[in-house]
Amino acid sequence: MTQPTAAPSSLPSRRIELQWEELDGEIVVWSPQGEALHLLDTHATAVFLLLDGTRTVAELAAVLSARFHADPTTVAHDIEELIARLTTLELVGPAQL
Amino acid sequence: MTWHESGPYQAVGWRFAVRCSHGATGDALAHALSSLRTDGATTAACYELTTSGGPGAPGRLVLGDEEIAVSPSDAVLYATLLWHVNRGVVEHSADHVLLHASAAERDGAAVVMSAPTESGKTTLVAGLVQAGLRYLTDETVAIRPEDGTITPYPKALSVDEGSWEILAHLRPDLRPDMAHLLGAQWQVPPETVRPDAVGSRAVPQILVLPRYVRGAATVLTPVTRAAALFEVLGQVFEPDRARGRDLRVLAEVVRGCETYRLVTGSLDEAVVALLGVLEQTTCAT
Repeated sequence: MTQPTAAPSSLPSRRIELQWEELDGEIVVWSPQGEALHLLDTHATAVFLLLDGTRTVAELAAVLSARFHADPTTVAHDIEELIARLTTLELVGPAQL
Repeated sequence: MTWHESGPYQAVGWRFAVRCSHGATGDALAHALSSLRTDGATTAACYELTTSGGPGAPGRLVLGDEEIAVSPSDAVLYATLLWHVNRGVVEHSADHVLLHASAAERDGAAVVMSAPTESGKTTLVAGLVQAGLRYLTDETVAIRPEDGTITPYPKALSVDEGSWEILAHLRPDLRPDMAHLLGAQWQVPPETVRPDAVGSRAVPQILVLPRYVRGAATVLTPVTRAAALFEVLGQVFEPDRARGRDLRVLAEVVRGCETYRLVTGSLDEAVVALLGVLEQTTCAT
């Protein structure tokens, strides 16, 4: 089954009401209503920390592929899937412009 | 009726006394609560336990106007009172982060073992205290948010039947006619292990996520601090009371700890493993 993905042109942002802590490159974060706790691994954390609403998904992919010297197409696909998952978990939403 | 009184007792933020209608039962309660005894003349809260008067005259346990239990079994009332003290700690210690965990300390450095019920927390802390550490709690680690230190809650160790064989020497020495109070759980005052067993305020240095598995080899594995934090947040009492504070405080505590997962089927091996990491950690700091 195809995983849902975020559109490359979308402008995702961490939800501002989240309560989270970063420890050694991983994040523990409560969902907005506090009904679920999530643990983000180092890759998800690297993306999550960049989700400040100022970059499109395509721009995020460019930043991360450069940072990790990884194939831009692969990184873009992974990020689109990850952001879609984070959106489903209500950790990420569209940037409030 | 003549009341047999004991106390006052202090259990983190819960201060109480006990009155019992039956002298020997009152003595057994005073023994079980002895490590929580504190100074001071009066207290606002007082448990009253009226023992059963025989068929048709069940005993009662009340706290002020609240009837907590009615039972023909004095053992049930005794166990319920001790359970209610734990509940009182949770209700009256909102100024602490309360974690379902056991803990022991040496020279102010604490080993915290956080896990769900039946994971071996009490047995492990008993083993550490036997090995020379000082006892902080077997049930509720109370962390002071201001500095991340542990406020001792040195209740009697509640030793379940599954550990009676390995901790047989800790069997409470109750009068023969009071032996029925032992029920399915021994209440072992920490001074039974050693006269100086009760510890002082301490800083968490090692955080362990233990799991007892019968017959398993002892394996102590480092776990990331975030994974440890994720698990201990699942062991917070009253998690909705101050979620943001608890996350912040526990994250700071975990940042200062070495974090491990422990699977063990042997108390002796587990104690050796934990003493080893405590040695390494305290030497390094």
